[in-house]
Amino acid sequence: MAGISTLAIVLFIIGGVLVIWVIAAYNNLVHLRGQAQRAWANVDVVLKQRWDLIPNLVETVKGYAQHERQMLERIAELRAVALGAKDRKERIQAEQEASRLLGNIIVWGENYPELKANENFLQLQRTLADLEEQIADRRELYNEAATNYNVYQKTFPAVLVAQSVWAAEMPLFEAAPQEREVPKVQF
Amino acid sequence: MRALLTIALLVISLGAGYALAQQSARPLPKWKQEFQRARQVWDKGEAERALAVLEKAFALAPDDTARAQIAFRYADWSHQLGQYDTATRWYSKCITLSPPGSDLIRRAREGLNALPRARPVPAYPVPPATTVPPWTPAPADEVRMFPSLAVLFAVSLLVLLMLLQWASGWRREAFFAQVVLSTLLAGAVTMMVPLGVILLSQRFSPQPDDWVAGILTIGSIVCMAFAARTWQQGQLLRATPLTRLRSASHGFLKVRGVAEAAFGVLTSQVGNISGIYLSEISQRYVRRTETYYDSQSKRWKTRTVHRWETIYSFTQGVNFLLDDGTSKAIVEVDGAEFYPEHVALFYNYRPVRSFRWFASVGDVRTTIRYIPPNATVTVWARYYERDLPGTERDEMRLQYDRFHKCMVVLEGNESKVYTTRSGTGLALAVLGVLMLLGVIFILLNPGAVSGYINTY
Repeated sequence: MAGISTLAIVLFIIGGVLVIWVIAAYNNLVHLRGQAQRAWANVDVVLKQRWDLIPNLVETVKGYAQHERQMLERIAELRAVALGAKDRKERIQAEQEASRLLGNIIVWGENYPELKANENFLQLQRTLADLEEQIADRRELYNEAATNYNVYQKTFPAVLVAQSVWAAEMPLFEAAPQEREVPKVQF
Repeated sequence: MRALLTIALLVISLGAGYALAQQSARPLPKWKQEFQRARQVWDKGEAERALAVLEKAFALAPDDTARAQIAFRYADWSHQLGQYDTATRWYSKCITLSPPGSDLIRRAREGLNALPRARPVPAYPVPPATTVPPWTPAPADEVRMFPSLAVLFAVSLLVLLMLLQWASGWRREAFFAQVVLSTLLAGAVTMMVPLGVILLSQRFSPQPDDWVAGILTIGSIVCMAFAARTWQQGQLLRATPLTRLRSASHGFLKVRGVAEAAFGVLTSQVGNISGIYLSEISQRYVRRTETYYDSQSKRWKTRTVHRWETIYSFTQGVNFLLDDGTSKAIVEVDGAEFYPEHVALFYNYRPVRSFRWFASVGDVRTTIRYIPPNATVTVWARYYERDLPGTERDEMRLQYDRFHKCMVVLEGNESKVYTTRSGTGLALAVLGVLMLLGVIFILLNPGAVSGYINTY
């Protein structure tokens, strides 16, 4: 009896620790997922603010920049894609392309003296620059939270819990392929 | 299909529940009831009545194995009561009745040897040389528990698998992970049941072996867990590359720079040493008279001892500004682990290079470990930026990383951090393995701890 009860106690402790381990992994996973989602929500608020500026910006610019009409149409398309995106990866791609194109529009302003003198354009330029800065700050926080969540998902036993219930890695804001290219400098 | 599966699960669960209920509801035999009652009476302090109940149980016992068990208990209690003649008689009876190779024989012989020497130990029959292996079969009750446990495991596995499938929206690609997780959890639940059954059947009277095995199991798990965490942190610290503050992004990083005391410094009580981190300990050499129990003579004795006693200790760090040449960041030291390089020694409040080998009563020695202002430090921490109110600038900060549960401030060579972690991890792992071996030893040798306690 003594041997059996000793074995029962040892098994009880090991079993209990296993159960607690799995529950703790699940709770950590939920906590990290919540943090990443909150960080995303913070980015999302600013991204929406930026999209709200787009119609105004396009309206201001299109009278001057007739040659870049194609680019303005692409921005309008991206707005529709971003606001109707099914998953976060698609959204992030649209947002990153939009950031690049918006940057270009601001630069074009320098080529059109009338546009450069337009008070409305200058106001939009300032607001956009401010929003881009906010997005960059919040994007870093989101990337940190999403990385923590993605890394934890791959550790044991969280990997079992994550794969069993939901297996979705959070996409990160990464540099676009064209941004990774080394610029060619010619004298 | 799902409905059929659910009904099948329900039937299997009911079957398993019934089998377990039968297991726990079976009444104990009369002699065992008396045997347990004797323990209760003994625990109440009614020794003579407890012995009388044991005699009754002895009379009711169906076979020699049961009688040997009762005889051992009778002998043990008589021994504790100082009735050495009775104890001798019942120990001998226990040896005679025990089956060859039984652990009770060994324990009874140990009991006999532990009796005071003045009493002549009568000759008792030495068991014949063992021709059978020294293994006693598990009682029938325990053997019958295994099929029920197997059914319980299968039921838990199926129920958990169904639950996980349902929670994941019947995803096929998650099936493999769900099978592994369900097996792990079903195994864990099944492991916990035998103790529950033993408790329900009221046959559980923990022996020293049980306590020791339980404590060693918990200790082993804790040591292994801490060893794994220390090793993980060591790997993280080793793998984190050096970053410049100007190009840093949010997250865990390593920065090296000069520690500027922008938020004040700490000053030591002895020597007035200032630093951004200070760990000061003062000890006095004293003479003490102690009372202790001598187990050999079984008497309380007194002795005079000389030792160092701590009279003052203080450990603290203050926030500082880290300048790595590209930018500056505020280091929030809350939760940080410090590795200072500077050490100052004082003997009787005078600076010395090393402490003396011999000390006189009343001597005071002080050790101060510290990081002075403007020292070059390496910091592993979480980097983040905070908006400075009223300005367009961001404030760079380094703080304790809650995700990695780590922040290190090091002065000097980095290998110090890695060596400390490797050493601690290895020591904890070895300790955990030793404890595990102890548990296995106790499981393979039932009664080993009780025997040891009885001997000493």
